[in-house]
Amino acid sequence: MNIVVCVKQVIDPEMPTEKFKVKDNQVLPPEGVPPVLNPYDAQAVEAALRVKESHGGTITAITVGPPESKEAVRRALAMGADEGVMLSDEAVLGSDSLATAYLLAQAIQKLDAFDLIVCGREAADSSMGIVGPVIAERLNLPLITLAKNIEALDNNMVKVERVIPDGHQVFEVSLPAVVTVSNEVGLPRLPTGMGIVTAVRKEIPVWTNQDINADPSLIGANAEGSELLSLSIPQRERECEIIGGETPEEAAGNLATKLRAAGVI
Amino acid sequence: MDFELNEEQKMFQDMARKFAEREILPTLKENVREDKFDRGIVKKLASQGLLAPHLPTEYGGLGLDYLTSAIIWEQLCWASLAVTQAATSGPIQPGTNLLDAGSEEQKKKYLPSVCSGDSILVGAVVEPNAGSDSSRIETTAVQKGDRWIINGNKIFITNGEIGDVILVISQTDKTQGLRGLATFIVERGTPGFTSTHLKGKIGWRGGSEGNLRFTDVEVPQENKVGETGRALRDALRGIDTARLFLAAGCIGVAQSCLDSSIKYAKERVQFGKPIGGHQLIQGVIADMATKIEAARWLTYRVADMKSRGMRHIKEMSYAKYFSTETALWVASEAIKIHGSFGTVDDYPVGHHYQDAIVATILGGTAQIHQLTIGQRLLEMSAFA
Repeated sequence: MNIVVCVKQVIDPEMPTEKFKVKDNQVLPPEGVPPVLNPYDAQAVEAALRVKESHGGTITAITVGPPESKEAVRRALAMGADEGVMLSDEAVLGSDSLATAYLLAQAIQKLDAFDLIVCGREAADSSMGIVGPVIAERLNLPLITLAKNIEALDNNMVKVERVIPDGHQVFEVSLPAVVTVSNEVGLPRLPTGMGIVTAVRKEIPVWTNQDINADPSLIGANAEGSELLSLSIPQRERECEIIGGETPEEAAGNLATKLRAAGVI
Repeated sequence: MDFELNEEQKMFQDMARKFAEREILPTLKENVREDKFDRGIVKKLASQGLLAPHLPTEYGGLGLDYLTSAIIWEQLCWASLAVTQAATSGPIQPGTNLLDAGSEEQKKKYLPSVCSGDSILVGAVVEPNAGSDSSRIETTAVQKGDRWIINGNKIFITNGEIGDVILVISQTDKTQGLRGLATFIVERGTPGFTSTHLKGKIGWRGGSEGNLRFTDVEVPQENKVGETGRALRDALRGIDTARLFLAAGCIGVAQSCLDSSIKYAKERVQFGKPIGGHQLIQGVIADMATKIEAARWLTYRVADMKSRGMRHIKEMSYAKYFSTETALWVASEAIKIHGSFGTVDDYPVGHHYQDAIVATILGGTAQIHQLTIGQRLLEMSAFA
């Protein structure tokens, strides 16, 4: 099975909130905090690796972004992906999620073969969650979102467990197909030492928008996809109040009264 | 001169830290309280490719340079120096010793299973009367035909209680002093070999140390490692790697103490503001960070020299001496910043303090390293 995993490099979402700085509707790269493979994409790689381990096949990790985002592909290779591809040139910089999905769809078509396309549920920076669905739309493929498990079947199909609020649905879908994975896939594996040694020596081809015949009007910062009107860091105000009482029962009663007055209960 | 880590080093740095957070920290508190070493961590490190980063690939290691290996050890010890030292000491000290001095048959027989975590290799040098002064080693090895009979005791031996293969330095001819020392391989199960757990430790808890007894232990000639008279020199090659491990590990220890201190100083409010806003706390934090940075670059520098095959005895002493003393000082200051909370094991600083004390002694005491440095600067030995 030929599996493609779409990955993205993002600002580390685990860094302390005070390090986040926004200027001109852009998050400024934080000083001293290296970017990371989007954690949701790491889960997509994990899901793909499990399919490969149970059914065989090859995994190709692919990304769109500036040159330094190649490291996201390298992280996927270190985890166990077999090949990596990067799409990067001046024209693609500033692409929004719609344009990114278009570029990925074009790039996937240039690959020798693809059966299963796996994406994270969303990027930890933009949180749009539309790249997987738009790739499916562009390639006219079936789509299952929010998978917690992907199991390869023998009849060129996969069985996908999809998370819903009160449980999960089970789908069997013909390949090729697009699947986005949910957090319930679980903790992605760490790259092994040998995986790292292999990954850093692996050549990652860099494609341009010409290589994938991308329509220039649909990519880059000026594409008419979405327009970001404003980006700001939410201001949270916290106040601490100790609720007292002569007895525990009275304190609980006072707490309930306060919560009711605040509209919490 | 490039001070930037390369991509491979950054990836190992990140992976080793995450491994430490996932696999060492969750059970650390309990294991330290009970002074229990979880042998399973050895296999996990091996599966992850972190057990023997510096040993050649042909024997099951990763074949990494010493700088990358030091970066890995630093990150693992950020969680626990005691656990990491016990888990990785086989490939580090006796492993390097066997690699340098062992025959090809010995290396092929023992190193792959050590690198895979299936076997624990132990280096046994220290005795009740022979610490820094190896000329006082009293364990004897007497040749009897094509076999050697070993008698004696070893103490404070990492993994002494659980190790599978022991490299034991013994005296073959008392009149020869250091020139009479030789190294032998003793496998667990050999009649006359027994070991016990070292109890009552104040540091290195959660690690593994034991005492060894050899009573008429008989080993064949093929278990002799290297030449008679070179045992201490051969062991020192392994100890040199162990010193690098301790220097790097203590940076991790100190960094963890600094990380915890910064977090605590931001959260803990006294006299109307977080204690981090008080000048005295800021001064201590600044001193901690400065010393850690200095220790880190001393260590990275000597790791690079070792990888390049450059002479580095003085530089290794700089790194080991300064890094371990820094860890001890930083951990001590970190406990003070945490106040009474620093004296209980809900915070990492107490465990690190206990380990840092031991680290200043192992691999050559601080004083031995001062003398090593002084000898090279003054061209006069204070040992004799």
